[in-house]
Amino acid sequence: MSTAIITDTHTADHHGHHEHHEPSFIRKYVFSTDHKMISKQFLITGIIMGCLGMGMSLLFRLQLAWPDQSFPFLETLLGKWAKDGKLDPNYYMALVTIHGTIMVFYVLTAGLSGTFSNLLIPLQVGARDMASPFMNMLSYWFFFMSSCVLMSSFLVETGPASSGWTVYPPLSALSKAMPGSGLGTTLWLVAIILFIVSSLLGGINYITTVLNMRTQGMSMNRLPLTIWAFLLTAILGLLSFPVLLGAGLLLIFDRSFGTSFYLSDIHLNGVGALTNSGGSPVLYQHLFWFLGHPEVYIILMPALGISSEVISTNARKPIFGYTAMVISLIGISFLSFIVWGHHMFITGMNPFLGTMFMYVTLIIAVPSAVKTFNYLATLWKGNIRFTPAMMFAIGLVSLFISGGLTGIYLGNAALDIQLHDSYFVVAHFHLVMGSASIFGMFAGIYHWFPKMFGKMMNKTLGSLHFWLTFVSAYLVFFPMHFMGLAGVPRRYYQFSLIPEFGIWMDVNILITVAAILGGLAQLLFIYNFFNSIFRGQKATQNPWLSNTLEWSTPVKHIHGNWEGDIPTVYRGPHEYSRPDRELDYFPQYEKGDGEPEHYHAPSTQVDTAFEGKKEKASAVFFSSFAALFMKKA
Amino acid sequence: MSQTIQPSMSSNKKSIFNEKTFIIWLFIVASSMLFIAFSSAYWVHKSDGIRNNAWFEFELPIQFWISAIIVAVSSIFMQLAYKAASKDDVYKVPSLLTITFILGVSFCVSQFYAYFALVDMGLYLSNKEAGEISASFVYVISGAHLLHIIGGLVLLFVAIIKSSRLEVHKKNLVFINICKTYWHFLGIVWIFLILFLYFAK
Repeated sequence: MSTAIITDTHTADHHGHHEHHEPSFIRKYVFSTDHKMISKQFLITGIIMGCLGMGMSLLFRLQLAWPDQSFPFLETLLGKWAKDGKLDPNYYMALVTIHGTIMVFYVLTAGLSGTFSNLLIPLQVGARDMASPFMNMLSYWFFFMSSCVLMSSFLVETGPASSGWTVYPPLSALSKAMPGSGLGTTLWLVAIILFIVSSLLGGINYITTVLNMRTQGMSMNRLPLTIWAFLLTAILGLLSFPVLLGAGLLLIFDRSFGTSFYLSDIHLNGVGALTNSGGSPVLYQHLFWFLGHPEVYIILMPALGISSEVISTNARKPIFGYTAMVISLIGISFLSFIVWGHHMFITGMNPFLGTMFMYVTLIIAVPSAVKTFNYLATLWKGNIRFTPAMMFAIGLVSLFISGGLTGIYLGNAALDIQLHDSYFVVAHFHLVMGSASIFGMFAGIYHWFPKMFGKMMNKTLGSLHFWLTFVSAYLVFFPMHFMGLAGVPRRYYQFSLIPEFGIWMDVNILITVAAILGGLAQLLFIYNFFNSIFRGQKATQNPWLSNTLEWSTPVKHIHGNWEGDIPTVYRGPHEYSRPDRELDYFPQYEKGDGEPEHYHAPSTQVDTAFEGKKEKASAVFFSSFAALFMKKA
Repeated sequence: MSQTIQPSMSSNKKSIFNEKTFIIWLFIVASSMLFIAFSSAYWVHKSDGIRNNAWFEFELPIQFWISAIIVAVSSIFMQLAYKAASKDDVYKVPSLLTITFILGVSFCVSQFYAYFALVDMGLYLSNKEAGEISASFVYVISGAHLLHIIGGLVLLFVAIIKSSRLEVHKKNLVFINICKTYWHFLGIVWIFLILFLYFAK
């Protein structure tokens, strides 16, 4: 494969020039254009959003476990939405909706991909910063604004959006359909549009940086798997988020401008028959899931990339089947665009079309299995170091298998008739997409914390955090499979009112207790995270004895990442335990015997008489029209 | 004997195909997906509408076709401006860009006249009859394109200022290259859309 050679325009002199100007507090910590600071901003905002999203889930889990019990603290916390300490049904729906939105978009898309793409892409490909640091800064601030707009919907009298995280019409298209369909849904739509802008700005930057700004020797087949994952994730986002934007715009037109793209023949209680006609809510579902399914991989692939890196480093072995891993990621990315229909098997689609969607869905099992077996083969006979990052990465593999297997059931059009919208679906996606990706995110945080903050996180607390989270994740989501198989539907407010589901009350209590345990475990993480930033043990430059380029940068962050020239890359990222080496690792940037020399690209000089020439702009502008009709002198 | 690492294509092309140009290409990909989404939605709706006997066919206003001619001509002037800059004929660049800009504004005006014509035909953004969603789509799709054109006009305006300051010459073609790429994209998209709306009506 070809090697991208970049001309290091940001030379040591230039770099030195920058060092004289210490940026102001605002430029350094708030409106920073440095990718490392932006990654911290994404991470901390993601953690805050994660706490909020998880807190919401605990609230509605209380309702599901003890539906007839009063919790006075709820009234203190939520006011009119929890009169007499009992959650209002509409507010229950709002919590479910915003929990899903926050976890899918704000934590596992921006919090995960935004953090690690920003941190690792320039550092691991050997670039001074992103292709457009300004766009990168904008990406974060659009995300931040989007988060604020979404959370502001809790301050609205009618409450936040409550038609589910998919915001299906007609509930979302008719402002009087339910309390959350009013201003709450408008704010949800504005927040998501801001989020899409943020994602596109970020994604464009990531792709450009990876493809155009790699250091000498960093060919595509020497890229760490993290970078492959971030690159493909960004491509997925670039191709699918505009479609969600289109879906959202049409929804806004339906809500506010009287169109009927998604509406037809509706009689609204208290309002009467609506004039909207000719629309179809299924159209929204097609557009939504064209994003929605790639979104699953937008969430999961960065976690898979991170776990590849963490597992290889901590097993002290080359990743098994690097090329197969890359091809699998590409295969998953491609397939993710042609399977959206499996979310819509019961919308009345043509059975032949459903069959097509079923086959391509089941084919995703092939690249997924390749990845799984490669993880296991990498671990096999490895010299494993059980760091918290490694445990979370192995936890990801476990959850990926457990959750992935049920995807084969749900991808089957016939079985889906029974399982659709049941707790089986909730169990499936919370294991394979939610928990697995969160585990990948934790693996990344524990592994790259020394790079981000120059400190080490506490290992004992990290291990405890892992075991509590791992056990509670399985206790929460595994029993849901059985509920789903028995036909228990998702999003219901109170199962005690339905005698058929009464037998599941004890299971609901178990799930809620496990969820509270999982929530408490995250407090350990929060303490460890912030305490380590300020009081953690100081990190060395390469604490995990890793091969990749980011560990060649100084512990203390500097603008431009490297003092002097960017290192040249001589080999792939996973050369651990080579028999010809005394050390069990061989950094990409360390020149070995007989390694190729630097290549200096020939300069292509272009001469012009106009470089630096000054003339009055207005004179040039007006004389320009005369020049059109005159021959060149 | 030591080897050397071979340069890639991208490094050889770096002078004309740098990161910023690449960014605009990626933006074009994202925008294209938006228009593909709208076109697909239109197509799906049309199939449903025809099946339910609720699809209204109408002739597109002539102004939409005039817009297509305007945008095509503006693309020619944009290309001439780029050619002049790449040949260091820098004094021609501002005027050629200004003509492109004026044609861009004319395109916007023509689009608004097309909307007036639609209103005269009794076709509004909101539909009274089920079949009139076809008109709603025309408004939304052309409106999304119009917003892109306004973005293009902002880019062109900056390019006119830069070229009047003699900052656009054969050693500094990045910005005008971005403008050219984006403007041609907008022209191609409109011609695609008008043909799509005509043949898929």
